[in-house]
Amino acid sequence: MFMGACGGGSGASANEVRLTVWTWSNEAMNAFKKAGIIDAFEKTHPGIAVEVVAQLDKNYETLLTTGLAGSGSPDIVALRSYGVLSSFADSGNIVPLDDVVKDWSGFSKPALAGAKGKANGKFYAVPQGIQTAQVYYNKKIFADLGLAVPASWDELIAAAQKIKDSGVAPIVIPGSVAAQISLAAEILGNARRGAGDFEQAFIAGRKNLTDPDNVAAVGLLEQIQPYLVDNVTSVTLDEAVTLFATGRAAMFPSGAWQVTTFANLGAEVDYGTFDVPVNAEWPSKAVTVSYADGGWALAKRSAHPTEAAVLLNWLAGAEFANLYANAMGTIPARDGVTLKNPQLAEMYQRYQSTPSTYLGAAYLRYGSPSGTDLLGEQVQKIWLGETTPARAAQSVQTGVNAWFRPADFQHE
Amino acid sequence: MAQTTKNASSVQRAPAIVVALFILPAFALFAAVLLYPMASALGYSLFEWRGGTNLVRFNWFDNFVVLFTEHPFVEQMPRAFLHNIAIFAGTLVLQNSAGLFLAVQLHRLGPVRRLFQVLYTTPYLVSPLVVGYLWTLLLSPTFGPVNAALDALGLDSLAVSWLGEPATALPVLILVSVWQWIGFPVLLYGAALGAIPPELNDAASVDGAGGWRRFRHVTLPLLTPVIGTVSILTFIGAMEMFTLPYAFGGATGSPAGATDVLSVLFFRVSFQSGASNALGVSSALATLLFLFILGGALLGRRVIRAQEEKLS
Repeated sequence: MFMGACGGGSGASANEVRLTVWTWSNEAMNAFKKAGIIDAFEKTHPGIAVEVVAQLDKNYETLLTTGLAGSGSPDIVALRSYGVLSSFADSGNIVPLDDVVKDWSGFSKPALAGAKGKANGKFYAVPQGIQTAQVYYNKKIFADLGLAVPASWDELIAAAQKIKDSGVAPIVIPGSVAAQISLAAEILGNARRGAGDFEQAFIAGRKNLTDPDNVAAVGLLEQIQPYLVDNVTSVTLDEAVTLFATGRAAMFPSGAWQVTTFANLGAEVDYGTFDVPVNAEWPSKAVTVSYADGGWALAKRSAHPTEAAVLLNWLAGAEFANLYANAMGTIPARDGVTLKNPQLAEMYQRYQSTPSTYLGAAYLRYGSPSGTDLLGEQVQKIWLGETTPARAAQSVQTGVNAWFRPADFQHE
Repeated sequence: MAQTTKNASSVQRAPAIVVALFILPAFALFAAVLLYPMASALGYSLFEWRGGTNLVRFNWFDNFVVLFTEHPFVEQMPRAFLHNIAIFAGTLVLQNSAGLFLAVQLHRLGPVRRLFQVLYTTPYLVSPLVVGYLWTLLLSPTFGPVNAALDALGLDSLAVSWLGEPATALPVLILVSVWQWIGFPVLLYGAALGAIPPELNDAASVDGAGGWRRFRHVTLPLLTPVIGTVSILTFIGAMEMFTLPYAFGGATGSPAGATDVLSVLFFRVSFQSGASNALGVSSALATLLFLFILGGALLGRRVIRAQEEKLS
């Protein structure tokens, strides 16, 4: 907490202002320091020095709660999107940025949705990045069986059957982790539910999760059950990654961060990605499921709000987005970025043409119980034969009814 | 004589201040790290909060009412509570019986028993989180050695998805918990067995009592206080158990809520939900849990004391 007062790094002059930035991520801190992000900023902004501090991951929100409330507050803090950010906005310890940041035009709509305070619809963070979620597939297994990337849901099921017949598990999902199940359910079902149209109807209060299209979307999880790895409800995230990376499972619905995981594993797996293909009668075309992945917020008790605003405007620009996304191996929250990693570049391109919001992350994590936790548990029950898709969808809706009000999200 | 009386009374008076001075540092520490957080949790539970620490208003017992009337608590709290009770019952039976059995066997072993006492106590020294993850790896149906061994022995019908099926997840949780903590009752029972004067058993032998009757009518009654202590500690441990269920089932009590317990529910509400009033509701839950554990422990203590009095 006294970081802000230390100053005095190499080259710091007497009237130089030193800004402190907090993040939960060691990787982010390293990217700032080693990939030349701080240098790039300081070179064009003499008189402002930047120090990035990574705080212990698990206690990050607790540390922030006290750090932002006391003296010696950091100037800019990384915050997780949606519910967490909104909760900090409620506390009054971070300030609205609508007038602080000059240009919001480069950011995508899903990225901005994650940066809003629920109470007043104002922006409380500069979006940091996007996670896209898609299906990873093993190119070698597909090629050996003469399979192409499926062009419809029916083709996907047919391909899964062929893979199963060859003795390989067609699909792996980390079925012991509620959040991972929920993500997989969203990858498979977003388009079946009706994608953006359903989202609009959902927050307008015209449709809820018991809608037949959403029940059908949850039903896809039941449809793929014969093609899942054995004992799916015991599979952890690490096991799922291992099964896919070693070629024991052919498809793996998951987030963009797996690109980095696979690279770090040094796995030889030759993989590609695709968005879940749709059948002709479905209400939507194929989409890229995406959600906002953190943002930069301005502390109310920052000792240097003017300089912090300068830094925030730079963090909102294309120069930073290019450096940061390439150093971190993430999908940028704004346009005008060239990604060097071909897998990520492909995801970024698909995302820009057909983005669709991860409904659970964007709207159902602002209260207790979290809608994504509930969905994860209900899908487990489907797989264990304890419930049906219709009852599962009803149960999630009943759960979130405790706190979810569509009107809370209608600020525009 | 008068001189002596004065001396005696000053000897009695002086320690009172000295004792107070000696107690003060420990009490201050106790108050700061235990009493104050407990009192503040109770205080927090009576207020409505917005966004972590932003106080809105005093709302009496509304947070407690929420726990008993609103979804998901009406469904998840009784479920978690029953799991805690099942863990307590299972652990109580297994730890007292297996712990006592092992302690009696070790007591007969003589000098080598120290080696076994150390061995039985070793898992107790490892963090439950580590124990949980190790057992998750061991029991994994995909990569774990337990099911691989069962398969190799031709027992593949027994090689189930231990932590992936609701029917087996909670029993496995109880067994692993007993496995980890068994060393503690073994040590306590061992010490209590060592403290029983051998003359009592000898006298019973002379009167013609066999091995089982000596154990049943001499040893066991004398162990009642220790059985009571182990039971109460088991109760407290089972009711506030968090780490092992969390390592096994994560914050949602996977699979399908089968390993959900009250502390995990508390964690989910207070630290994982984006709920604005998370602090108020979770403090109410923590207060309830504390009162229940306190009440249960006091009740248990009374029962044990009544038993002890019957014996003496």
